Amino acid sequence: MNKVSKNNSLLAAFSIISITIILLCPSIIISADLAPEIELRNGVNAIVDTLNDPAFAGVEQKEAKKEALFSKAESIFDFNEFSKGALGSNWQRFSKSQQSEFSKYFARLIANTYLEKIDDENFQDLKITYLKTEMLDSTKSGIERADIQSEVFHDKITTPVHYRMMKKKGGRWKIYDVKIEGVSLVGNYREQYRTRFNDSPDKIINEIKEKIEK
Amino acid sequence: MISQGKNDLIRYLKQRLYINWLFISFVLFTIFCTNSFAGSEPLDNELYGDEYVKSDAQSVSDPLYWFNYAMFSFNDRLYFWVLKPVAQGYKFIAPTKLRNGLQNFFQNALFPVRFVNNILQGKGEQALLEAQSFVINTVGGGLGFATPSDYVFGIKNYEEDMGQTLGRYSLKEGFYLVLPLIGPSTLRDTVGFAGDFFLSPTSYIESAELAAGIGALEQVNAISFRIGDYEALKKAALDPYIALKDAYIQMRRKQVSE
Repeated sequence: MNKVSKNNSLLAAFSIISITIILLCPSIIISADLAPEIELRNGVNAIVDTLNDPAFAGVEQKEAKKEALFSKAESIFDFNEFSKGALGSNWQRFSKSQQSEFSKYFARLIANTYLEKIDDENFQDLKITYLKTEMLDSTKSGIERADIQSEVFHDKITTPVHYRMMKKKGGRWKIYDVKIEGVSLVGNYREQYRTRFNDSPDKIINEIKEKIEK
Repeated sequence: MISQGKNDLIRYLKQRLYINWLFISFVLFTIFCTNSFAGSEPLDNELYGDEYVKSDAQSVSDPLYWFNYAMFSFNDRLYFWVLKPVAQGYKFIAPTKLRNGLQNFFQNALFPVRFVNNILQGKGEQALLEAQSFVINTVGGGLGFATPSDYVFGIKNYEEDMGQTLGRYSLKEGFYLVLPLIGPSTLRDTVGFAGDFFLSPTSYIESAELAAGIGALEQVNAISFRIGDYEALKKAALDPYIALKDAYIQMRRKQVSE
């Protein structure tokens, strides 16, 4: 008798625990899946808000606006990973200081071209729709990855934009590649750097530096 | 006589066996080779590593580099010296409504290309939707100047062309090719382009001058919506020729996979 009730209470405890786990699990999975999209939305919204910020409206505010936009971009884009991916196998030839120097200028090059382009036009009618988040396999060293599909509608044209995001242990979700109409930004640079194995790192850094100053 | 026939049969069977064996070993060899190549692909960055293997080498070979480079320079100058100023002037004069209407009209007129290629790719449902929107826009949208199919019925276009169809049939790109006036292409897409030529109504205009005029209008009208895109690509690129080539290849591979 006693044994049976003991077994029953054990069974009850076990079922309560397992039900709790089953109930909790989906919410854990959902929140893990949503995390990159929330980070992305916040990051992109911050950039769009800065673009439309009336405080930066005047011509004399142009430099300040550019800096504000760049700092917003820096908090959501991982420009170090961008640079790593863009240089491909050339990355290993760069010393630590050369790597960080390249990353610094490469971030400026990307920001200059794209932020300037979206700043030229009136972006009041901009509409961004987030379609789907797909969790990708983690890398061997445990970096989590996600693919987020979105559509950008502006000036009567809809452009598919996919973001690749990653999260290192203890870090935040950050963008490491952007695919516009299927064209990977990082992949496009990697292709340009692919045949540059004979050029010294300094030459590559200077080339990009000159391009920004132009 | 009978033993002669028997010998022939045995010889024949042996030959068959030999040929089969050759075939099987060829297949095995190919599989082995592809696997070992995929394995030896340098995974220099684990974050992007899987894409490296999946899309194997991003690049398509470029044996006609000098011709292509000359055509790239020609198209580049044509854009900056002729097309861009003309498109800018046109954009200034022509009201946005007219430009939109023309864009819709040309899009509607290319219905046969999309319809046939959707069917060739086995996308029956999309072909049907294409046919529906063609009828709706031609009748209800004044020959396609308006797109009630989109804003009333919410039907989108399904851009398919012969190059994508050939890609769907597992035909590889061949090599990179830059065509004068048209821009980046590949051997496969050029063949596809020629196929689509017979499906586009403008090819059946008898007067050459009129056909050229309509072609130019279509081009300039389309560019008027995209001024600044090419400039941005060129400005961001370290090697604009490679950047454009790679962007084209990546874009087409995505279109074929969809």
